Amino acid sequence: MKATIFIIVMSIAQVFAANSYSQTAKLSLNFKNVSAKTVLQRIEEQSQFYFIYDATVVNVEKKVSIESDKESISEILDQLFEGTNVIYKINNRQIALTTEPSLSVVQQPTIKVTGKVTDSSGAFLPGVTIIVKGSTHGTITDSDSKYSLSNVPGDAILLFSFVGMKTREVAVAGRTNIDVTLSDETVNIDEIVAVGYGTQKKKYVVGSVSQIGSKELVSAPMPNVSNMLTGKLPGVTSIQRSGLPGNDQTSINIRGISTFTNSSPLILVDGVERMLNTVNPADIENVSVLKDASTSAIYGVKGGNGVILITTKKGGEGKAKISYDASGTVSLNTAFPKFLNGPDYLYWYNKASEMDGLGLAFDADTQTKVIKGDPNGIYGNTDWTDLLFKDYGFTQQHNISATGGTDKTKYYVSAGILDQDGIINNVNYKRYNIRSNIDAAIADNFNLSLNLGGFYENRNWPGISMSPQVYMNPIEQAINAIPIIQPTYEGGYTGWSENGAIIQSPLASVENGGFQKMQRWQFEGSAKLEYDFSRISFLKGLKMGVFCSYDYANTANRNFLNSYKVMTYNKATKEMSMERASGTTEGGSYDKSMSLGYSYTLRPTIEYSRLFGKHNLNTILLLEENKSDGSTMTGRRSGYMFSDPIDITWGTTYPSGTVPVSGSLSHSSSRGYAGRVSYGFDNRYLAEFTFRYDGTYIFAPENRWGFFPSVALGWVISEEKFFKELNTGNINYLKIKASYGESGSNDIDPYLWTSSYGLTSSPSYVFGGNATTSVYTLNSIISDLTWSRVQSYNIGLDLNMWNGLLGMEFDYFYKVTSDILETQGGDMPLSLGGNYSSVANSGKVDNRGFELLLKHNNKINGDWNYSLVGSLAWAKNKVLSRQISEGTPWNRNEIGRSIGIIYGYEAIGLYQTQAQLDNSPAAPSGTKNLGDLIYKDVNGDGRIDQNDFVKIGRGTMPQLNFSLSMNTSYKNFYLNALWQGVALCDYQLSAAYSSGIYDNTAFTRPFYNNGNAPYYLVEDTWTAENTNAKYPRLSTIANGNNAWPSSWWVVDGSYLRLKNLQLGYSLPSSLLSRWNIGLSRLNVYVSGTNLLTFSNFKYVDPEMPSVNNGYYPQQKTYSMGLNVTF
Amino acid sequence: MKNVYLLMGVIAMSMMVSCTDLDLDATDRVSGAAVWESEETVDAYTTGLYAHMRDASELYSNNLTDCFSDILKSASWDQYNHTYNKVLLQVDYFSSINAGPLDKWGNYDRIKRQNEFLLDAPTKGIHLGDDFIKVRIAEARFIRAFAYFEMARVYGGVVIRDETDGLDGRKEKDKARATEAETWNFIINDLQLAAQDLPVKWTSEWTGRATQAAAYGLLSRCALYAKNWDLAVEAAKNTKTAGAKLITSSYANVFTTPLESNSEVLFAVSFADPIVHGFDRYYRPSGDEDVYSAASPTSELVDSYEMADGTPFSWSTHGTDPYSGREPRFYASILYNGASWEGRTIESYAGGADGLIEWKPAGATTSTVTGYYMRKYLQEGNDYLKNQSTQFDVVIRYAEVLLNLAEALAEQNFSLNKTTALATLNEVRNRVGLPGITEAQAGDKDSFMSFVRHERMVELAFEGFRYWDLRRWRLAVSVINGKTAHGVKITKNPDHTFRYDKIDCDGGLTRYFDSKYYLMSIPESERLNNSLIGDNNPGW
Repeated sequence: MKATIFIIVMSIAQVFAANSYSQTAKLSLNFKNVSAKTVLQRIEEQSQFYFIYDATVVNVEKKVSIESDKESISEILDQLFEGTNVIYKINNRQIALTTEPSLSVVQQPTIKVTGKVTDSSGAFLPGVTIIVKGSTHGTITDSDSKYSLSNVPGDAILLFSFVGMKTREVAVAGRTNIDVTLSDETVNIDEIVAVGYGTQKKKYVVGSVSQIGSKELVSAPMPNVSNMLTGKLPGVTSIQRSGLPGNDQTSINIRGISTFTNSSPLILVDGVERMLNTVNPADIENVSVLKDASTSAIYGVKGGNGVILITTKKGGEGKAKISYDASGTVSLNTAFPKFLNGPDYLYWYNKASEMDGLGLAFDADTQTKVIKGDPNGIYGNTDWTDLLFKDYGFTQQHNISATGGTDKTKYYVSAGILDQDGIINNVNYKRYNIRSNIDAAIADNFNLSLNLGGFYENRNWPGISMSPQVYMNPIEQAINAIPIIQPTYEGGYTGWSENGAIIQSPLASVENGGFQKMQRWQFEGSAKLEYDFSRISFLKGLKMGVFCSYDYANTANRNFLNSYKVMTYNKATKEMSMERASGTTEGGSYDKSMSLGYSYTLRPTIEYSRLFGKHNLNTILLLEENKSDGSTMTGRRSGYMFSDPIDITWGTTYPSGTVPVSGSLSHSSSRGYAGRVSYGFDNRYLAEFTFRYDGTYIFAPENRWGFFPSVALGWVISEEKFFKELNTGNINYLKIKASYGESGSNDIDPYLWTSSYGLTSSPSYVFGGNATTSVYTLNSIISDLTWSRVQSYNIGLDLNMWNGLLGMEFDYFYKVTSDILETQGGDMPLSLGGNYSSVANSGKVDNRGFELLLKHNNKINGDWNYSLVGSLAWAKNKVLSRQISEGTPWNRNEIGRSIGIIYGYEAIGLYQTQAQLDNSPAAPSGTKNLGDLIYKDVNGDGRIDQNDFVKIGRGTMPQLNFSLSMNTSYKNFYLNALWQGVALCDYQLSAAYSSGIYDNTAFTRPFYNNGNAPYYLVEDTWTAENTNAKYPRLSTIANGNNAWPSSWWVVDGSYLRLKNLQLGYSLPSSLLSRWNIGLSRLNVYVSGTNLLTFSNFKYVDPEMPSVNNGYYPQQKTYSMGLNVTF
Repeated sequence: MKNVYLLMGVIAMSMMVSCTDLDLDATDRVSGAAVWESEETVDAYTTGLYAHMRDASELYSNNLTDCFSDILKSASWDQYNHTYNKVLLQVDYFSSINAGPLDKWGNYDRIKRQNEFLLDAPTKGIHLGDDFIKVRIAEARFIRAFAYFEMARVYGGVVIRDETDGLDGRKEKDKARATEAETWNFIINDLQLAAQDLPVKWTSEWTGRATQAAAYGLLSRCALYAKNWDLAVEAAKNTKTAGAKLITSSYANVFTTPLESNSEVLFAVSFADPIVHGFDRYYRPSGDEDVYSAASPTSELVDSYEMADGTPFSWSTHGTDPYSGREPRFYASILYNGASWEGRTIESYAGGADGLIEWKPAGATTSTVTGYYMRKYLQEGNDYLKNQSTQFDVVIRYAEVLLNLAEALAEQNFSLNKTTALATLNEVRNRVGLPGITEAQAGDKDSFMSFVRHERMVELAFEGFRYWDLRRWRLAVSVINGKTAHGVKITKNPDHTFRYDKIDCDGGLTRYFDSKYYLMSIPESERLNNSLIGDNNPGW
């Protein structure tokens, strides 16, 4: 419901008094010969009043003059409508205008109509105005959302209106009970959006801002906020690379990427830089994204990649409303390839082995045992991935909140629990959030806001990392494990090795491999004191305040890599023996790191907002200081005798090769002066100027301070007289806007400008039998570094037509990031040994694109509502300047191309004939056989080497993001669906590992790492019978030729997903009130995420990390939940 | 109004409390002044320079260059990042981009640090006394010479970056490559200067730092590369003067005598927790627990060990009992079928605990592929799984210096130096009880040199000389190219006797060594970014 807006309106209120607002609010107005409508609008802007009237009945175009000095609203209205038949009815902040009933109206028999008005979720709406159309006769719903209106003509039409909701007309048609559901006014130009250090009415926004409220955010239970943003904010790109609980967040980029260093946006929670993913989603009021520099320049040196503002909920006036939300979620892998079962493995491996000329690898006896059973219990037919993955992971979330207050004190308090179990055993993530947001008028004109939040999170993973490229990651082990042995032997998990070297055991690695536990306790507190000078007439509109925050965090990481043995099948000797799993050492090893740190912000502000006739001025000036300190300590031991307890004390030895104890201290500070002046003339012409003067400790004193200005202009064409005359009423709102601004990015190590020796973290050399620590030179001094600068241009258009049947927002942007801090040396010979500035402000990237949002909101009849919101966002960057080696071949030059594009060989087919083999250049490595990849000799030198690398794909960052949100409600049912997708991106199934080595992966070479193979791969590899194959020659032997990055292994990363689907039902309020158990709302729903995925390579998730041998897959979820409000 | 004062008070207070200072002191680094503060800090700085010697250790880096030669066979085809077999068995494995596994151009990173030290030491360290600082300067020169030596033997001439005109930076990025002779002269100059100032011996606390004998020993080696025979002879003699002496008690003791009292080992990289290496783990016989057995000595080497009486080994003569009656270095260097090892007997026969697995070009074979294991450098009785290995890695020892001397004397003027050359060679042979080579056996320089080459192969086996010697002598093409290495497949007969079959251990492939490999390609990145680098080495 749109209480959202209501609460914000209240929270920016100027005066709180014991009596009702209408009695205490004093207004000063001075108009000469303007329309009554203008006066009403000014009153709305200047105060919290809003008017509801039917312009066909009330003549608001009438020219009036009015002069008032601190008069009450009724005094003003009396003055305004003196001598007309207009009457008004004030209900606190809502004022209904109508006219005296016309005497000419033929009186008809009247009836009494009663009923209840709720929003689409069933929540109460007190204060809804109900007017008989064409009259002034009306009433307002009470606190139970009920109304009763007598003397209604039987054929009358009732108008139901409420701020932030679409006005509904309902024909009485003789009924005496009419329950009405009001839906949100989706295209609501009075919507208030969060912008830097404040809020603005959307109609005054001249920059590029997108915002969603809590309802759109929490459309399905998800563990963290970043996942909830996917597809909901145009211009925001979200990529989720893993489904691992505790690490399943998405990475977020705003308007693609504009730099080749860190491109993450600045994330502020209640105005403070904080972690996004530990915020309790239920506490979020709205999420706002500042995309262009006119909105982000006020964040100066940190605003270059855009800003995400999270605002938490505030309390509202009224008696306590207690809500309880609960959900249970089942999760499954979105995609995971099916690996060969025992008999099929034997068949394909033998076939491959024969093709290699190595004869049959497995004899008939083995085959018999695998298929028919093995009396010795060694052989079997085991689906390791199926055993590793449970049937499902289960997540539950509970949240309870209470909100309420008086006009002096309001509160929102909540507590939430997330308990997320992974699809693999011993994978778990828990988070407990609490929050208390209190607003209090502590004295006249003196307001205090106190937001206290905190969380505890607890992550538990197996001892062996799940990261995609980590040696022995359990999922990789499951892929590698051969399916022909039993999963257990003599009661213990089995392992296997090719020939005794690397011993793998997927199940034991998860069950017995130890743990990686992380616990974090965090407190987040902020307070704002604000004084309003409005009582002093010449200072009217002036507010001064001070905001401060203090966050404290304490983290404990405990990692135990256990030593475990498994009954190991040796593929070479075909025997079982007890062996210790590879990657572990006797006695295990354990490390514990404790870190603690705090950060504080201090921000005095001066605000001045005032309306002078048609001139609307809003200004803010502030100083912001940040300081943070951190401290860590890590200890390690090994040689653990007992399996429990495990802590430093219980280790009997110090691990060799590492320092048993280490620690670090860090601190940072910054200071900035910022301000914004917004000016509007007659609601038609809007201008805004923003600046920030920012300093950071990172750079040398002479390069420390920078100035970041922006300017933006807007023109609300729909407010122009000529337009109104031309416009036949189709266009309700039309605004065009343009902005230019500058912001920055300081993603670089601090202190590079100072000198510079380090002490080695571990000993360097042994003298006299003792290992000795040494001092070494760090970087060369680089004194001229500063931040990179982002210049951003934006033009846009906001359009609303046919009262919400069509809404459109369009923005086109162009950004240039210059002075990007980049590593130097690409043009330096290695023989300098790095003796030159290793970084410099030298890179330059431009980025252009657009966002288009189309909305359609309609009701078919009183019961049927639906809305469609479609978005399309495109962003493409181009490197204008970047350090590259001199003489880099043309085909690998990145200048003029997009960041992250993929280079490699152009694979032109598979060798099909001996003649092709004979007449082609040597393989770049490995061997050429029939069925292996043919690479194009691009430069024609008769050699295939890295000079033949060409662009073979786009980067992994999608250039195009699109979504379609479809919401419909029928009576108390609602169904919401969100389709989301990306295009114009590629990923690689096989390329360079992070170690720099080129190799295949389990997805591109059967029996990779001597392991198993997925069906799709073997079934479409090149064999003599299947020459028109999708994959190279079937073989048991690694062939370097096929392992190079090539166009063969590039997959189009486009996908379309049914990201969310939610079906809900709210119990009718009539039923709830009849039960009389204190429930005001009961809503149940089922929902899902990632339910359908359409992509080009269906065996893995399209968001998979490039180059992996098995990773924790993204999850699709099915949830059930309920929301109860008392 | 009192509220306004309250607000002002709060703001004023908060501003005062605020102490945001943008001039923070780094908490994670040390200033230049602190580094040159005291003897202790300068020694810590000097210690950092030695890290280059640690990284150069073949034991520490697990990069046994003998595997590129005919005497040691790597079990890996594509595992453990070991490329020995690909280098040997793939045609044109090396490209002009860089020298692949032989690349040493990265040494410039260390050389830059050595130059920084050498630039600052004479001024910033002078307050610690001339005697103190000149020894540290000499150490830095010794290490820098070693870094350039490693490069020169791969590339021939390299770009000389030193501290004489300040450090080379952005402005000096284009710099001509020195000729091979100039490069060796630069190295020789550093070593000669170092030898003047280095101490004869360090206190036991600092055992392992460079000494005068180490500098002279390395000088004798580098002089051979430089073909400066006079200097090689002189340096070898100076090595002896500086106190170097063979350990005569036994050959095996050379590798076990503590460095402090080891007169033969002139420079070694020592290990102690936590700086340890994995030699035991990687190379122990496969019958031991959790090992890789990643390299096996070839028959080319094993059959070269003479009988104890100095007669050559021959399968036709000694084939029924091939491992009895061999010279001491055989037993100290090789683990063979029937050898006693940690209280057990090595079983490298087919099906034995340490049994041979025939090598193929895939994965890694985790047992011997030749029928033999290395023994030298393995630490018997070591709990290697817990402690890894701490065996020191010999970098320079006097036996090598003697063989350098013998070679230099022969090259200088064999007919004139015949007697001293033979005496020098025979000093090495006599130490292990082998009869000396006679003048009759070594009638001319070539036949003498073949004895020297044989002696270097068996004396210095697994110490990282063989591949580089073959390159230096320009014999790698004839010894490696088109050849295959061999091992022995041992079958246990029912009567507990053994049958020995010579096998080819290169998986049916033949080895490749092109003459252009003698001087590897200068890295492409250097050639592209240094416009004065000049021509690449021939063939690239």
